[in-house]
Amino acid sequence: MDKKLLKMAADVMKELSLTEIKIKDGDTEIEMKREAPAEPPSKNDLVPIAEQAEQHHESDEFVDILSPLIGVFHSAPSDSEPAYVQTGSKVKKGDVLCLVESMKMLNEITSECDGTVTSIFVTDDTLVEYGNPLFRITLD
Amino acid sequence: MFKKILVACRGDIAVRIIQNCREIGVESVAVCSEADLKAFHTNLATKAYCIGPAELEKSYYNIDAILCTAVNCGADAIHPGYGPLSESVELSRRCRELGITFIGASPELLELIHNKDELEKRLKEAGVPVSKRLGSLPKQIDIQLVCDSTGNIVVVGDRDASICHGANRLIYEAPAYGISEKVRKKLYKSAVAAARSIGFVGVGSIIFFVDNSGKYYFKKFVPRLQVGCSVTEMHSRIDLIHWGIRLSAGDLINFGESTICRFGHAIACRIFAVHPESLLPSPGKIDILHIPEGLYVQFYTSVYQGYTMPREYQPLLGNLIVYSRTRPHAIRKLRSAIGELVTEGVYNNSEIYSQIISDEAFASGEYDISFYDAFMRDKLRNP
Repeated sequence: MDKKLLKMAADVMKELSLTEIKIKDGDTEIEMKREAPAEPPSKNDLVPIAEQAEQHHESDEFVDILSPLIGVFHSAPSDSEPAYVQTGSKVKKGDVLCLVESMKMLNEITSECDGTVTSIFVTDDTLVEYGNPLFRITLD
Repeated sequence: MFKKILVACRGDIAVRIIQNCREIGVESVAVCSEADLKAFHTNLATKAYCIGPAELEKSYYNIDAILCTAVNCGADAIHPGYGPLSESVELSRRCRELGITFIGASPELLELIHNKDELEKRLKEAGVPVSKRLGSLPKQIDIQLVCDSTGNIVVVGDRDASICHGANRLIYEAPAYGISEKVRKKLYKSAVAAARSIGFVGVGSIIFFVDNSGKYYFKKFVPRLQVGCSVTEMHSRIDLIHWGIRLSAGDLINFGESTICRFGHAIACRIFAVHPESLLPSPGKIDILHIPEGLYVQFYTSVYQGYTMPREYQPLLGNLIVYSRTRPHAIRKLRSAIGELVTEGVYNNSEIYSQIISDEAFASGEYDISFYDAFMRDKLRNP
């Protein structure tokens, strides 16, 4: 390819902030593209809280179980007992998935649907906020 | 001093408390409702937790959720702002049980204040007038106090809060205009006697109703910050939010009444996102916001350009406060500042304040607590 043409194409790309350029000589074909630059990630601690509101927690395939209150997440009824569910567990609507403790009150969190636990979003003994996703249940 | 303060409120007061925490190097933890994930206080605090849905009872007034957050994030104090929680006996008591400082009055003192008969009995014994008979042109005058645990009580100043609609105070000015120095001295003396008789510690004010002959009676004890504090702060140069935190941490007052600025005049008005004529709330997205500025012009707010005001809460845009050497100039300054405020996307009621402070009755001081309602009725009849 002509070096001059390459240089020209590069200059044009730079000048117009293009992300793609396509040039064909015979019968002249030109294609140019400029995609919006990706926003740099913010360093603000609170981005997760803001993003949360825009995430989808329900689809035809899955339902996310959200924490109905702020509290401490417990995966098992007590330290010596096994967790209520693990990734891969089959659950039915109404089955207990975990406990969320708020001011020494234990609140049972139950499944809203029949399906399989495919994700557990939080680790034991952490503080979960109101609306935080706890589990993803993939529907049968 | 505290290490971490949980700020259990929203809006402009939450913002000011968090700003204070930043100034004194204390970590702040905001709590918010689902509707406030993008609120300014949520983003300004060191950390923020969503504690419930938009309804106040389920989030901002949810004592269990607030205490749970405080315990788990390791806060050693809770600041309730000036909403209902700031007078909650339950929150004050449960904080004490958990070893967390409640930045406000003790549960015993709050109980006494809620018991009107007992409170009036105690105040009467202390020589504070409680008889509710007044002559003409009654005004509401608040006496602002700061009191420390050694019994040192400092009168920070007085302010007029007569321009109101129901429980909403709309315009404040400090000092109160049109009362004689003799009456002012008597009010200060009564306020100090009232605070001493119940052993109040912290930042609070005593509300009196005063008529144009100088007769007055005790109306209410406010054992917390309140909206009007900001006009007194502007006039006195005493940061009352700062002192509320310090007194709760056990610090003692390090200034005397003689060092407080009592010169000049401050006026404040509360600007809401409401339609200027129908006065119906107009929350929504603020497309353009231009805030008035200038020497001794302040706009305390929790909104910003691009912010969508949630419709679940009082549509407050901000508190506009000005200060000047004389009252007439402060009035002109406020009028000019109001003219600079621009909100696009939401309406605001600032124009009404411009008209009120231009009114002859306001300028002369010949008005009382019914002024705003009468003014609005007149306006409706003669638009």
